[in-house]
Amino acid sequence: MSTKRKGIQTTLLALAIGVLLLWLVVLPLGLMFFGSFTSSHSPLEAGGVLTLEKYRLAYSDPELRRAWWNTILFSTGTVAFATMFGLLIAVFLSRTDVPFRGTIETLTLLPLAIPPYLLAIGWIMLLNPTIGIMNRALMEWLGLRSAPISIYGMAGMIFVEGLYHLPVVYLIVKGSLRSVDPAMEEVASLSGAGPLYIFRRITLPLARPVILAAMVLVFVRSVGSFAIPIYIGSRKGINVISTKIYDVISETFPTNYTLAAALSASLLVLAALLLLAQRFFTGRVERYQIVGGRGYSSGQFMKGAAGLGNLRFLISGGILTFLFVTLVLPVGMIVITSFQSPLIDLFDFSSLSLKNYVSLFNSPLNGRAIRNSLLLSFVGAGLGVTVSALTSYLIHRTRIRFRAGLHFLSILPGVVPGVTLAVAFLWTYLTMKWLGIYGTLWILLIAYVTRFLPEATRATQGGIQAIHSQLEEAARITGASLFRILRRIIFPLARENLFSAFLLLFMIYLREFAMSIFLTAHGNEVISMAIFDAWRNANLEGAMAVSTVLVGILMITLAVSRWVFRIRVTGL
Amino acid sequence: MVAVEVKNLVKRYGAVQAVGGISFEIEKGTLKTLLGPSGCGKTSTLRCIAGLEDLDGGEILLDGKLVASQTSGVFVHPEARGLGMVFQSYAVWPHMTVAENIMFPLDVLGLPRMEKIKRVREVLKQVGLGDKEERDATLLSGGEQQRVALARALVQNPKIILFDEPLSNLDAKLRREMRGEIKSLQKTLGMTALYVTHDQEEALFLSDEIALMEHGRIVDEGSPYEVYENSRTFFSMNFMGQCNVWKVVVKEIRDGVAIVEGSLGAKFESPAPRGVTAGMTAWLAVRPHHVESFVAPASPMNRLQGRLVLTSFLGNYFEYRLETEVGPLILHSQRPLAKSEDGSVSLFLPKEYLRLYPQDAP
Repeated sequence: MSTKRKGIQTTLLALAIGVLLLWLVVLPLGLMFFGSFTSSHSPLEAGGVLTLEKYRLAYSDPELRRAWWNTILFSTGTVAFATMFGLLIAVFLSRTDVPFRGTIETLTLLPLAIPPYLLAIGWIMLLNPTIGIMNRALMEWLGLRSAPISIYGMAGMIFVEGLYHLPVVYLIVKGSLRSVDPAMEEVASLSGAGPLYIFRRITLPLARPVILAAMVLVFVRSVGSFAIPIYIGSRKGINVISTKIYDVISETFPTNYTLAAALSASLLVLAALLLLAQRFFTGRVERYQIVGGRGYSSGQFMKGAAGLGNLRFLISGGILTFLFVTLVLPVGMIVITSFQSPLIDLFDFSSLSLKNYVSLFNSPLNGRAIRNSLLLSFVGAGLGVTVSALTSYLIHRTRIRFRAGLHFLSILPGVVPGVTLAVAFLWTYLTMKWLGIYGTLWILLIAYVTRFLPEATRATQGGIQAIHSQLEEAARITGASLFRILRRIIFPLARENLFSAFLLLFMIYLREFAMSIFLTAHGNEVISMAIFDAWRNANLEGAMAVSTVLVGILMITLAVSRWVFRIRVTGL
Repeated sequence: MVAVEVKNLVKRYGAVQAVGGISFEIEKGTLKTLLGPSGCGKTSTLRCIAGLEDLDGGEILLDGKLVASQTSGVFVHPEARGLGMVFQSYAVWPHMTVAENIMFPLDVLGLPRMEKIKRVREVLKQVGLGDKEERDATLLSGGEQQRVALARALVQNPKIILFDEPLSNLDAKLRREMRGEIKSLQKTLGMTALYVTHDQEEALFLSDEIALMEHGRIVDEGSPYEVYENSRTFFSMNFMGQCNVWKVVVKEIRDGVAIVEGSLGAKFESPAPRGVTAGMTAWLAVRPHHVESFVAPASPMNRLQGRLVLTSFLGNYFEYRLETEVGPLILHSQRPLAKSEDGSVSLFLPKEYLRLYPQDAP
């Protein structure tokens, strides 16, 4: 039994939040969709007739056709790689007695804490054909005259993107393996089946729908992925649709916004259709998407776990080596090389110095970018938590009629690729240039808050739901207004949860790249842009130093929340 | 003067009717209990009065003012009804101190700070928490939390206080202690109160009036004495306390007295309520402490021979379980049972304590 009505105040709050969500989510996507069917080149041109011309171009232009093909290839490869390794690690950790489970899990989840472009940069530092440290080691060792492996290209893109999605597959598969009733495996065991046989005939089939869901999720995310393709693919001219959209926006003149809109809309439709199909065939999606939002403790030794004998050390060592080399080493490379100046030879540690940092802080752009990022992330996280906490309150603690609609709006951005959302915001605030939001920090603030609404809502709703309804009713009986109840009862009771959501959003906003690259103008750069800028201008020293600063801020935030505030930030 | 008036209250949850059109009143300055088993609709009724639920039929008046009506569409929100409420879970806010918890309702009223502090101290003293003012609410025992909840409900000097099973989470000893304090506080402050509980002993102790509910309806109503001793229904007789029950056939009714016959021809005289006619089967009930084992009056009626099966000592009385010609019987007595030489016990069931109910209920 929850409260029947909270009167006019609740209705007003719900209307306000509803209008805000419509403004943030539906309006931009709607304007962009509509715009993609016009004949004009940009939202600034008045008029134009309705036409499918841009869509025809989007699917017939030879370069775009190649990009579509690349997108499919890239996403398929990523799914294969991430599923294979994610599944393997999840199975070993939840069904066998391999040692060092905690370390393995922590390392597997590492990509959650580092932005994808840093993983890309790190791998470039390892496998760049000229300076990559691995290449040079291999050349020396094998006596080769040229680099044996190059990260640049489709294989490299798939490899790094796959690594990046490892945690998603791992968490989802682990969750489903855990939820399999041990009795089902025990029954098979009593009938004489061995562990491998049981796994193949019982466990895996039970987990199959969930594994399929994880694969679809990774596919959808790779389809919209931007950072890794642009860092690794574009050097060799390999484009996917998201990087093509960036080309259209930044390289064509006059900018063909409408073509970008058509491509972005196509990406969104593709993602939505895939998720719908998956939902249709195997059930609900959010159940799996929600996985990152809960604090998964590391797997306990399960009943029915297969004993691997001495082999278990070998397997554990193999997994640890794989994770260390693929995830820890690249990030380590960034940090180490950031202290080398000039960056001529990665083996030459005599050039260790702080010069890169000195020039970093002498560069007005970098200073500005760090300041802007901190400001945006701080203010944005406050705003994001407020909006999502109020939304969660309305969804879970009231019975207003359109609360299902509010819920839908708040999770909708989760299926929209970042690039699509960025083009939608560009379109919207160019159309309404008189608002003065286009080209300012405001558009970034709006974009960040909107894109990560699902993460924010997921992070806040647990705290709101956990409050006993009588604690709220006791306040209502005294005559307290809704505002007072929220301020004195609900928010203070959920404060730990809200603070953890704040830190989570702070870190997510701080590293955002796919939208920032579209929406920043001169003077309002952010960290991810400063890194990209230095990178594109072949200023490796600068890129490494700014990246290290970003890693530093992220790690300090995590450490402070963990050890100072005793908060475990989950859901990154 | 009537402080609370409930008329034909109906409350539904989907297809389930929780409250089926009940009516009752609470006199100013008295405590009324809604008593009944879980699911009888007592808490729903209380929540409708509080305004935490809207009603599906009927109306509610507080101090003669209409606060909820299905027909005229009136619904005064809980915050405007001027009530105090003590919740089953205490609902003491864990992020505030004792004083902050109790001060919250005064913050809502926007009183000056000095006045608030004075009032909080006053109420704290009334509930016996004078020394715990600055204590964190989470560091309190269950009983102390209950006192905070009570103080918080009292602090605004509300017209009416609602109690939603406030003692059900406490252990037996504390429950006894707290109910004593609630009663003396209610009497000294002259509170009007509605108290919801499933514990009949608590209801008997606290109430000026009890309304007993079953399946969303009030099946008995009156002072504790009336409801206990002159239970109007078979359900009420059973719910209010232990009783002996036998199936009997009504032989004849004369001057408001029914002659009934049990198995093996045992005959009883009992007051005849309305609705009981000669020839019908009925339930004959008597409370264990009204069964006598010493007196052997001349009348051949209302007598039984018993054989002792089980003896239990409960501190302030003995409970004897006997087998008689009409079936098992329980007898409560403060003195040891007198047995005849052959070990049988002569029993007498005084007419004035026998109750007869038509056998429509199981």
